[in-house]
Parts: sequence; structure tokens; C-alpha cells
Amino acid sequence: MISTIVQQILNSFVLGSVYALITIGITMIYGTLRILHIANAGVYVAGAYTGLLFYLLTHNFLLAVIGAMFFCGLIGLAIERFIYRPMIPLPRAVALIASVGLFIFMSDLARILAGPLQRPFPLDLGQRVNIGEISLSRIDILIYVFTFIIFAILWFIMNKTKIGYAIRAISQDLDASKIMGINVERSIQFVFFIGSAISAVGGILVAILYNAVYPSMGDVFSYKALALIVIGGFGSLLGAVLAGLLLGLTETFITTYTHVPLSREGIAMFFLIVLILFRPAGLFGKE
Amino acid sequence: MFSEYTLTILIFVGAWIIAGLGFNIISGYAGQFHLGTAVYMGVGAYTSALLTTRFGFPFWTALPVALIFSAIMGFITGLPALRVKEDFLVVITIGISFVFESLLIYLPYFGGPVGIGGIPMPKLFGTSVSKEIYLLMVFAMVIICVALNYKLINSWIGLAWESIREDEMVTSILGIDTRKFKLYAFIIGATYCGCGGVLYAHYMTYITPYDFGFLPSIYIVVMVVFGGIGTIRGTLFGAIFMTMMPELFRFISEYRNSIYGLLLVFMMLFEPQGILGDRSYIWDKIYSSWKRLTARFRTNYAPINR
Amino acid sequence: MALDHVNFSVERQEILGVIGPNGAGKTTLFNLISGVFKPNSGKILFDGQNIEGKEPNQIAAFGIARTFQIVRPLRDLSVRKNVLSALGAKFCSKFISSLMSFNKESFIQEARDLLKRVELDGYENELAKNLPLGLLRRLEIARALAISPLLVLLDESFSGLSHQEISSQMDLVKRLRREDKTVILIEHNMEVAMEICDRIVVLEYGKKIAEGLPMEIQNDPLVIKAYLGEEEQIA
Repeated sequence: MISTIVQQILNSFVLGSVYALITIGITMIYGTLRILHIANAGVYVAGAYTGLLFYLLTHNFLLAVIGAMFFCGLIGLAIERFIYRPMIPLPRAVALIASVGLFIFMSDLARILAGPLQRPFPLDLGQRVNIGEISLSRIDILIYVFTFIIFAILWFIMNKTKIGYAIRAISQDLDASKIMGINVERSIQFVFFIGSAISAVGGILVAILYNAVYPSMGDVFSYKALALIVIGGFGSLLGAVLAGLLLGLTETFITTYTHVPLSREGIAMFFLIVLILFRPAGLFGKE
Repeated sequence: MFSEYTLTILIFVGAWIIAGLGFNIISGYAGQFHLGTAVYMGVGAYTSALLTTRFGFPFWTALPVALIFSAIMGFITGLPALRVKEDFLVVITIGISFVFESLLIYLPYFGGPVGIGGIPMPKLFGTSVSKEIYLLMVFAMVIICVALNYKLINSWIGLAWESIREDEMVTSILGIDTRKFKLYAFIIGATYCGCGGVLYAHYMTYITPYDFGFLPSIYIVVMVVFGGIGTIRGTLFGAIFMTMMPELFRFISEYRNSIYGLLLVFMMLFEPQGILGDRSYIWDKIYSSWKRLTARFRTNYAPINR
Repeated sequence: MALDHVNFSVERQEILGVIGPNGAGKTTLFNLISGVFKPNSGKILFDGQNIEGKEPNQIAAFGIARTFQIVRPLRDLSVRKNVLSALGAKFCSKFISSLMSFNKESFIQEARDLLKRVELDGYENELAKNLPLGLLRRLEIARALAISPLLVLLDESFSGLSHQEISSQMDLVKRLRREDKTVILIEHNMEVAMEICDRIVVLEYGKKIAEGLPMEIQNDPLVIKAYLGEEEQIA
């Protein structure tokens, strides 16, 4: 009995880790620019497809991931430069609408370029690993490893480097940061590049987890991401991570053990609404 | 007179105009950006559908009841708007979209993912109306809705809405209970959308939860934002244009989402007012040409202010 | 704590000045009176009635109007509509009356009269966002007057104005008193404050440090120190 629960927890942590990865990107972007970057889910889809493409070309998973990260990072830079930057002085709803439009476009573009059918991402890593009564697939382990490495690198960047300091400063107070001489433009570009690259990894990981790449795979995360930002506390990275894990857990348990008439999205959105109304700082936010 | 195909398009245009007007009231006048107005269409449609199919009510009874339910839904969903602003409000409306769609899919009472079918056409004098008559009905409703809209925007309530959109705090300081008026916008806007939903449902004769989820809400937004948000002419233009374009140009419906998505992005970048919105490039040209043309027919004792 | 035990009163038809160095809490005071902030403790009495903790629109109904330090016009609306919004407040208390059209000649004329009082007639059709600061300040006052207030709160309405604009603004304020209105004004411009106010209250760091006639305040050592202290900080 305990082992089943632990198994469930571990399974949902896998999902949660991916959520956390995707949330990091949009959380950083929200933290610095105060824009809800829904189109991040489009980058996620792009990541899955380019990852698949590079893998099929090179037969090297690591190369494929790096290639996809780089490519999607560039996409993120383009989005910031040509779409969000001109919208900064406008009301925030404008950027949000544009982001929604962009996401819809990107998803459809995937359908146009790669066809509407689902494609497999055939990464075979071998047998499942068994520890006592708990069984993990090697892909699960891969996801944990990747996620952990990315979190670690990110933590290092945010806390021990100049650019990380800059990003944190900008999140707190944009104008003060400018006055202090921080290169805001460069920092924001960095945030978009890294955030998009990480989302691309998220896309690839989910693709190999379910062995499927398809144009609407972003739908699941796009609007759920909103819930994650809110739950995570609007800009707190640790909150983003915890939010991702928590949501993964909650979703899995609710859909497995109860009969709530809501889809996974519905559940996430329900929490979103409740939280915004009653605890606008998010579950893990400060203030 | 019209082919069935043309009839269908025109009826759809009518339904979307009315829904667009509803969205325009909430988001265009009152400035409460709402990405979930299809929910109200859904409430109207499903209420009317259930009443006519499961409970045997006639269309003419179901319609007002559906409108009332839409209004109630508008009220309920408007309450969060009193507590949150701007992008948080948008996020909540997105959330409401998803929760609503989800409930419709998972609660068997609403027919599940298959929805409700066999929705009857309305009856006049004992017989079901023909599609031509239905078009006439829709047309009449559009006229009524537009007329009502004009009344609202030229009344103190419309002014209060615009004032709230511009600066809510100042509006409050002036002595207007902004909470009440935001709710009015939601209630009235939702009723409009519900009306559109009813008209849609009884013509389609079947409805599914996917007709009223997030994407349809976005279509309404694209329509009105493209046409000119905050104006009646913009809503009319947007609804007509966006409904007809995919029909006139087949390839547009093939790439509909891409086009709509890009349209949203470009409109936000270059003309957030909409094509015919106040002070948009095109509208300014039309307006000043009109002024120049009609200046000859007007006798002015005072200099023209511009 | 933004304001600490600030205690004062205003007489009818008085022009009371509130001055003090930056951060003293002057605008906070206005925010409390107009209902934008709710006090944690304390009372605000207006004509014998408690108004603390009430919503801004309720306080407006009592007859209190205010302007803002950084002007807040309804930017995308015409000047006429800006004033009409204020006039419309009394029709917006009930749903039914709010359905009345505002395009009636009587209302438009009323708006026009108000604009004339602040010498903004002729700008009726201009969009508020196209107006320069001086005119926008007058628009704020027109808007405040439109709700027929008994008490007018003016927040730094003289800042950023030219000499000539200041003099016509002062005339306007004096006219308000003649119309049986009471005025509290926050000012940074000492000359204006001294010339136009009947009495002055001085705030520093959220506390009231002095109250009295302009003459007395000018020579009050505490006040001088508060302002000198500010000068030292800047230097």
C-alpha cells in the first residue's frame, strides 16, 4: 500500500518536474517583464519538434537537446525583440492577447509544417529499474536527472552570478535597477533565451515520456502555465518549482482517486481561480 | 431566395454580431478584458437546448429563460472582477473558460462530449419556421441589440463604463459605485452573448461543449479587436468580416488558426484600436473625408473645431 | 506607519493648507479622507458624520471632491465627456436613472458652464490626453466642481505651472471660497501657500508638527528645521 502511494508520488513527480521546467521560463519572464508569456507553450512545442528533428538527423540525443535548446532560445529572443518589446508601454492586456495569438499561431504552424498526425519520439534506454517494490522507467530517471541538472545550473546562475543578480534586481524593481546601472535589455534577453531553451527541454522530455509529438501538445501546458505562475507566486523561482510539483501531484491524485468532473486543465484552472481570488500572492509568494 | 449556404452564413454572422456586442460591452466599454465570453453563449445555448429538448418548452419560453440564466452567469463570473484587475482578471476569465468547458464535458447531465442534439427550430403559429424566417428573426434580434447598444453607450451607464475603463479610481472618486457598474457590464454583456448562443443553438440543432470553450471565446475577441474594440461599427465590421472571410476564401479556413493568431499579434502591434476603432488609421481617414464631404451641406456659424 | 495621530479640523469656507517635506504623508492624508485608503484607527468626521472607512464613491456623495498631484484625466475621452462623467455620478446611484441619455441639451449646457468657470470652454471636443498640464489641472478642478462639493481637496494643483497660470489658479481657489466651499490644499510652493491659506497644518514623517496662521508657521523653528533638514539631505 505504501509502495503504491510512493509509486504514484514518484510518477506524478515526473510530470511535476516537467511542469516545473516549463514554469521556470514563464515565471522568470513574468518576474522581469510582468508579461504572461502564454506563447511559451508554443516554444515548448517547437522544442519537441526540433528535438525530434535533430535526433532523427544526428541519432544523438544530447546533441538533439542542445540543438533544440539553442534554436528555441533564438525563437524566444525574436519574440521578445519583435513582439513584446514594442508593447511594454501599452496596457498589459495587449501583450497577453498578442501572446495568446502567437501561441495559437505557433501550434497551427506546427500542424502546417509537420502535419497533424502524432509522431513518435523513439528513444530507447532499456529496461525499467526496480528498487524494492518501486519501478521506474529509465526515461523517468532521465527526466529527473535533466530536471535536477537544470535546476542546479539555474540556481547557480541566479544566486552566484552577476546576471542572476541583475535578473533578481529587475524582478524587484525595474526602474531602480536601471538607475543602478544594470543592463536591463541584456538581462531580459538572457531571461528569454534561457527560459525558452528550458521550455524546449520540457517539450522534448514530455515527448519521450509519452513517445508522442503532435501539434496540440502545447495546449495542455499553455493555460495551465498560468495556473502555475499564480500558484508559484508570480516570479519566485522556488515557488515555480514547488508549484509544478504540487500541481503534478494534485492532478494525478485527483484524477486517479476521485470523480471530480473536471479535466486536468479544469483542475488547474479551478485552483488558479480560487488562489487569485483568495491568495493573490500565490501559494508560495512573498508579500 | 437565398441558398441554404448563404442563409447559414448570414445567420452565423447575426449570432456572432450579438455575441461580439456583448464582449464589446464588457471589454470594450467597461475595459474588463474577458477571454471567456463564449461561456455565456454556452449558458444561453445549453439552457435553451435543455429546456426545449428535455422539458418540452417552446422556443419562445426558453429564450427569455436562457437570457436570464446568462445574466446570472454574468453576475457570478463578474464578482471576481471586483477583486482583481487587468491581467489577473484576464487569467481568471481564461480559467472560467476551461472550467466551464470541462464541466460540460464531464457532467453527464449536459450530454457529455457529444453534447445535445435535436434542438428544435422555433415555432410560429403552430409550425416550425423556415430557415428564411429564422434569418428574419435573427436580423430582427440584431437590430434590437444594436439599438439597445446605442442607447446604452449614450446613457450615463455607458459613460460610467467608459470612465471606469479609463481610470477606475477616479470614477469612484467622482461618486460612481464602480463595483455595481462593472457588474452591470458583465450582466448585460453576458445576456447579449447568451442571446447569440441561443440563436446559434436552434439553427445548428446540436451543440457540443467545444462550441463554447476557450477557442470560441478567442474568436469573439479576434473579431471585435480586429474590427475596432469599443465601437459598435467595429464589432459589426469584425463579425461580418471574420465570419465571411473563411467562407469566401477557402484557404483561410484551412489555415484559420494561424491567420487568427497572427492577426491578433499584428493588431496588437500596429493597431490595437482595431481597423475601424476610434482614432485608427483607417477610421481617421474615413471620418475626416466624411467631415469634409458633409461640411458643404452644413451651415456653420462657428468655426469648425478639429 | 504612514500617519501617526494626526489631528486637526477645518472650518467652513476656510482655506487650509497642508505642507511638509516629501514623504510627510500629505497625499496619504488626502487618500484617507477621500476613501482611497482606509485608516487602521481614528475617525474622520465630516459635518458631524463619520466617513472613515467608507468607499470613495460614498464619500463623494457626502460632498467631498479631490484632485490629484499627478493629473488623472480620462485620457481617451473628450473634455466634455470628462466633465459629464462627474455630472453623471448623481444619476448613477440607481440603475434606472443611469439609463437616461446624457446627450440632452441641458446636460451638455451644464458641462459647458462648468468648463467656462475654469476657462476651458472651447476645448470641449479635445481629447483629454492632448491637453497640456495647465489645462489638465483646470479640468481636474472642473471635474471636482461638477459633483457640487462642499469640501474640495486640492493636491499640489499649483506645481508645474507658469507664473501666469499660478495667478489665475489662485483666483480660482479664492472664487471657490466665495461660492461657500471649503478648501484643503496640499502645496509645496511656499509663496502660494502663505498667500492663499487662512491656516496651515505642517506634517513631518507622518506627524503633525505645527498648526496655525501662515505668519506663525513661517517663523516656527520646528517647521524651519523640518525643511532645512530636507535641504541638508538633498545637499
